[in-house]
Amino acid sequence: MLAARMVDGDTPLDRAMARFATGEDAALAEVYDLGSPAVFTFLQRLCRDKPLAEDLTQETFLHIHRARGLYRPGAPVLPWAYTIARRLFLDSVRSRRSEVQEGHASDAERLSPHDVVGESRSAEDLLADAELTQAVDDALAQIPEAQASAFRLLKGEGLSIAEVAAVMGTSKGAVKLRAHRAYVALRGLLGKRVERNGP
Amino acid sequence: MSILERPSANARDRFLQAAASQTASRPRAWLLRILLAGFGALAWLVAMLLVLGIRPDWNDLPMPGLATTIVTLLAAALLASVIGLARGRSMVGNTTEALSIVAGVTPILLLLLVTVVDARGPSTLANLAPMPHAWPCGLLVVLVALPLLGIGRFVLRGLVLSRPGLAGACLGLAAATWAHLLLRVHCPIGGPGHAVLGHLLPLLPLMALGAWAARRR
Repeated sequence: MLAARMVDGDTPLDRAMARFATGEDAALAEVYDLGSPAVFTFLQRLCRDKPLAEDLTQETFLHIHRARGLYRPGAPVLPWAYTIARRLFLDSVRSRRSEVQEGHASDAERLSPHDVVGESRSAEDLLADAELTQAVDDALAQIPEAQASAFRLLKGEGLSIAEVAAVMGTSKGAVKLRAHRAYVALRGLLGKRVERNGP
Repeated sequence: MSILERPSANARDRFLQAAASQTASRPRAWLLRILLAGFGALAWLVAMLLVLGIRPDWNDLPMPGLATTIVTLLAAALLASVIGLARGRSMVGNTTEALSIVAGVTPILLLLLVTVVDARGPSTLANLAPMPHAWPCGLLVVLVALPLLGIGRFVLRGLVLSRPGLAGACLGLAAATWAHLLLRVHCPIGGPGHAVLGHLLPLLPLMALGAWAARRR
C-alpha cells in the first residue's frame, strides 16, 4: 500500500482521530491501525532496529492517546505523529547512542512479513524493491540525520515541504536545502555502488 | 511514496493494553486549559496591580502618548501569547518563520516604542539617574512575569513542539511584555533610559528562561 497523500484533516486517520478526540474511545484502535504503518516504517528506517521501532511507535501513539484532549479537529495527524516519533527517536539515540549504532537490523528483519504490499506483484519486483530500499537505506544511514529525515519525509512519505518543515522544526528553505544535500549525497553514494557492481 | 510495514500484532496488543492502563486527557482539555490560563493570568495581573497601585501621575499623562504605549504593549503581549501558545496547523506549534519573526521583531519594535514615545506629565519623575531606579523595576518585571511564564508552560504541557526553544522564547517575551504593561501603569518614572533598562531589558533573560524551560519539558 502506498502512503496516502495527506490533505488537511481529510484522511480516514484524521477523521478517526477527530472521533477519538471527541470522546469515542473505540476509535483509538482505528487511529493506531491507520497511522502506525507510516510511523513504524519511518522509525524503522531511521533507527534500523525493528524492536526499537515498534517500541517507539507504541510510545508515539501513547503520547497521542494522552494528548487527545489537545487535538485540534481538522489537524493532519501524520505530521504530528512524525514529529513525536522523530523526537522520541532522537531521545533514544541520545540515551542509547552506542546501542543504536551497533543495532542495525538484519536484512531479513528489514523486510517484514507484514509488508502492506499488493499481492499481485511478482517476486522479482519485490526483490528489486527490497534491494533498492536496502541500498537507499544504507546510503541514508551514512548522511546526517537531519538530511536523511528531510529526504525520507519528502520523497518517502510524501509530505509537503511545509509539513516536513513543521515535523523537523525548521524553515521551508532549510528543508529544501537538506533534501537537496541528501539527494546529492545519495547520488554520489549510489553511483559508487553502481560502479562497484557494474551495469 | 514508500512501501509501508505494519508493526506486529503483538505490538498492537501491547499498545492497546498500555493505552487502557493510562488516562487520556479529557475531550476539550485544550479549551479548558486556555480558559484557565487566561483567567489565571488576568487574576494575577489584576492582583499585582491592586498591590502595586496605579502611578500617581496617571491623570496628568498626555492621552496620545499613554494610549500609544498601552495599546502597543497590549498588542505585542497578545501577539506573543497567541503565537507562542498556538498548537499550529500540524499540532506541533507555530511555524519556525512565525515564531522567529515574533521573537526577533517584537523586542525591536518595543525598543523603538520606549525610546520614541515617552508619555510624561508635570508630576512625572524625570531626569533621574537610570541605573539606581532601573534595578527595582527590572526585578519587579521579572517577578510579575515568572508566574505568567509558568502559566504558559502549563498550557503547552503534553504537546510535542517542533521548535520548543523558539516557542518558549515567545512565551518569555509575552510574559515580560505583560509585566512591562503593568509596570507602565504603576511606575511614575519617565525617560527612555529608565524604560529601556528597567522595563524592557528584563525581557531578554525571560526569553532565555522561557526557551530553556520549554526545551527541558
